[in-house]
Amino acid sequence: MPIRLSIKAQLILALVLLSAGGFMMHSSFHNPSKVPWGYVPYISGLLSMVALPALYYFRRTLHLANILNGFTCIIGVITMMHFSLAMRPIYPDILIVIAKFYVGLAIFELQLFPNIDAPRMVKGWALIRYPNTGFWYVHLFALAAVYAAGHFLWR
Amino acid sequence: MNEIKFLKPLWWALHIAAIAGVFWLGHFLHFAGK
Repeated sequence: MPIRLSIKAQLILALVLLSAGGFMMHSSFHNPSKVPWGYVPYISGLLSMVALPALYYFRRTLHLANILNGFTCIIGVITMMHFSLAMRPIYPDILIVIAKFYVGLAIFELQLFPNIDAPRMVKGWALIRYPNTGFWYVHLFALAAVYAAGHFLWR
Repeated sequence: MNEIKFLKPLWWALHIAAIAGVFWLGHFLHFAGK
């Protein structure tokens, strides 16, 4: 087995384990059968454990996997930050979902770039365009603003 | 950039759906008292 392929398999396993850990933690804290918003982490967790590994594995669905992973992590960060401010601080849990994001990004870039030793050529505004990392920072702030607008304006 | 041109209608559909979805999520989630 090529080393690149085994690194990919290990990273996909890490992604599944991080997702499974988060899924179990959420199920015990707020079970969807007891609180309706428990469905948000329930669906995101199922998606991350079952669909993402398969989507990341195949080259054709790589971008879909990356988009789904990035946006489920962004929703996780925003909602858990909201929970931290409204209820009790859960910053360690936020760090776990950020770690999951970077594991997904590593799987993505490992397959996107044939030569992983090459220097990054992207500069300027292109840094905030997909698939560069800045794209995710912009979308984190933009979605946080939309979420806050929905929370405060639509009561 | 050709891919982005090709994806334009999908790009708009995704953005409108995502903004509506996240706006609704902000309205839906009220953690206080739980």
